[in-house]
Amino acid sequence: MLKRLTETDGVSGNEKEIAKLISSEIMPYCNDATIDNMNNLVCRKNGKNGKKTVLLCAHTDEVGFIINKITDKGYLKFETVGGIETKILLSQRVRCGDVRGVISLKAIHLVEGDERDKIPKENELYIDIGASSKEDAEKYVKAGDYFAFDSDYVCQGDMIKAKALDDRVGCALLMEMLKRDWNCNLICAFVTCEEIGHLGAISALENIEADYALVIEGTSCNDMAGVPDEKRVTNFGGGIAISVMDYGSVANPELVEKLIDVAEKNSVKWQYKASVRGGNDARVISTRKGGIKTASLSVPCKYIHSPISIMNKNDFESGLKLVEKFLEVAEEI
Amino acid sequence: MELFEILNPSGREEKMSQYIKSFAEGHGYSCRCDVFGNLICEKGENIKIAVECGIDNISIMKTAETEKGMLKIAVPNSALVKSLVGKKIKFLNGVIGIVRCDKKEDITDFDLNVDIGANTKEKAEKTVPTGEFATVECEMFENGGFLFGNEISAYAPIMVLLGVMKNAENTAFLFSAQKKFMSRGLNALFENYEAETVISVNALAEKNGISCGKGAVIIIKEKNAVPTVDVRKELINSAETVQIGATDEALGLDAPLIYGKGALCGGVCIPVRRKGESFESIAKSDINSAVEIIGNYLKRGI
Repeated sequence: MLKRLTETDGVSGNEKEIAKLISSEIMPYCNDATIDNMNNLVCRKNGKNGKKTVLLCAHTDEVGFIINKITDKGYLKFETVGGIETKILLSQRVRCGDVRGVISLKAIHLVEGDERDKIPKENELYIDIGASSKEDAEKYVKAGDYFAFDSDYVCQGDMIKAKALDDRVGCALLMEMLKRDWNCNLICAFVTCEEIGHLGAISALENIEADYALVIEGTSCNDMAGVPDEKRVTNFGGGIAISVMDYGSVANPELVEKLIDVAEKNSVKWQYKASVRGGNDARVISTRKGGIKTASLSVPCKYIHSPISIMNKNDFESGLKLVEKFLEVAEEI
Repeated sequence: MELFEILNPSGREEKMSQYIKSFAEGHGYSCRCDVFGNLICEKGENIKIAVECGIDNISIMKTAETEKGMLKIAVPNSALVKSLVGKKIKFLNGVIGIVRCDKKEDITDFDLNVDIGANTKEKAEKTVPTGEFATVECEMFENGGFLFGNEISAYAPIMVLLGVMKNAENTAFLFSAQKKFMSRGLNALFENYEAETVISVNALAEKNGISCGKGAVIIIKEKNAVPTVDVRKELINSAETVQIGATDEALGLDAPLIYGKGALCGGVCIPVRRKGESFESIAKSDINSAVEIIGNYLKRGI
C-alpha cells in the first residue's frame, strides 16, 4: 500500500487522486466517509463501546512544483509548493501525469568561475520536457499544472526509499487502523495542504470533537555521516518518534506520558523527537473547541522533502504497534 | 516572592495555574481549567466582562547531550534564542544550568549548550532527561520602588489580575496558557468561551515615548489588532495618570475578535525596562496604576 501511496502524485492543492485511492481502499471498513471540496477525506468508524473518540490525522499532500509560465522556447518556469531546498533541485526528474521532465542544469563545460560554487535561485531554474517551443509545450502542459518528483518506490532490506514518505507513511498507518475494530470511536482524517499552511486541517476539522488526537507524520532524521549525535533529531531505526513540542504546538503532557507508558508496557521501540523545528497539523487540532488533547508520532525519514527520502520499515512497524496498543486502551484512560 | 519562584514554561503552566487557582478560590471565585490548560475564574452572575493575561514564560526543552556533558536545548520561539545566552535556566526537575554559546552572530538554538556541571554524556543524560522543560529563573528583587527579575515581564500581568481580583464582582478572569506561543491558549479558549468585552493585560517594552513609573499604558494598536475605540476611551478615563501607546508586538487582542465572535476588546500594558535582557524591571506604581484602571473600568462597566 505504501508503494501505491507514494507513487500516486498529490502535490499540495492537487490531492484528488490520493483521496480517491485511499477512499476506494478504506470504504468497506468505515461507517461513514466524506470528501470535501478540498479533497479532505474524513472517515468515521463506530466503536464497540464508543465511550471515547480518538482522531488520527495524516496529510495526503506532498511537496512539489507548480508551473507559472512557459517560455517561448518551451521551458517551464515553476515555483516550489511546500518547503524544498533549491540545492537539491538541479537535474531532478519530475512528472505531471504522463509528462516527464527534468529540472535544468547547465552543462559543466559551460559553467564558469564563481558560478560553479553558487546555488542557483529557484527563478533561474526551469523544467525541460523536451518541447521545442511554447506551442509545442502547450500540447502537454499549461500554466497552473502541478509537477511532482519522479521517483520510484524501492524496498531494500529494511530500507524503503520513495518520494512523499512525508506523509504517505502516516496515511498508510491510518488505513491500517481503519481495518480493525476498536472499542473506541475512531475518526481518521486524511487532510490536504498541510505543507502550505495546514489549510486542509483548518477546513476539515473545524467542528471536530474527539477526546484524543494523534497526528501521524514523517519527520526529519539527521542520522547521517558527520552529524553529531546531539543534532540528529531522530535516530534511524530508533523506533517511532514521540514529539514533546515543535514550532506549532506543545503536545499534551498527559497524552505523551500515556503513549510512553503504552510503548514501554508493550515493548514498542520509541524515541523522542529531539528538536522543536517544524510543525504539523497538531497546531490546528489542539486548539479546536477549547482544546483537544493532541500529540504527534513520527516515522523518521532521512532526506525528507526530497525525491529520495528513506525510512526504516521497523520504525513504521513500531508506529503501527504503538497506535494499535493505544487504541486498545483509549477507553480506559 | 512566591509567585516569582514558580516555573511556568509555555506548555507546562500547571504550577502557576495551581497557585492562581488557590488565590482565586480564597477570594470566592469558582475556577476551572480547560483541556488546553487555560484557567477560568469567575465570580458573580451575568458576567459580561473578562480580564485576561498569559501565565507562561519562555519554553526550553532539553533535546540531547554532548560527549562533554553539555545539554542541547530547543527553543520554539527563535526570536528569544539570543537573549538566553549567559542566562541561568532551571528545569522543572530542579536542575539549574547556564546557557553558553561560542558563536557571536546568527545564533540558533542548535548553537546553545547548557552547562549543568556534568562532564560526561551519561551523567548529563541521567541528570536531565530528554524532553524535560525549563525556563529562565526570575530571581526577583526590589529596589527603589522597582521590581527587578529575569523575565519579570511574564509575571507583571499576573500581578495586575491578582490585584484586580481582590475587589472585583461579576467578572471573569482568564489566565491563558501558551500565550508566548502565538497566543494558542487564547485561541482555543475563545472557541468555547463567550464574553462581551475582554480586557487584555500584557507587558510592553519601554520605548517610543513609553516610560516606566508614569502609569499603565492603554494600547491603541498592536501588531494584529486595534482595540475597540469605546473600550479604549473608557479605560483612559478610568484613571488620572495613564500613558497611551501603540506597539508592533502581538499582544493577543486579536483572539477575542477572531475566535470570540467579535467581542469588544481593550489592552492595558505594564511598561518594562530592558525587556528581553537580563534583569528586566517594572515599576510597582505602574502595577498599581493598571489595577486601578481596570478596577474602575469594571465598576463602571457593570
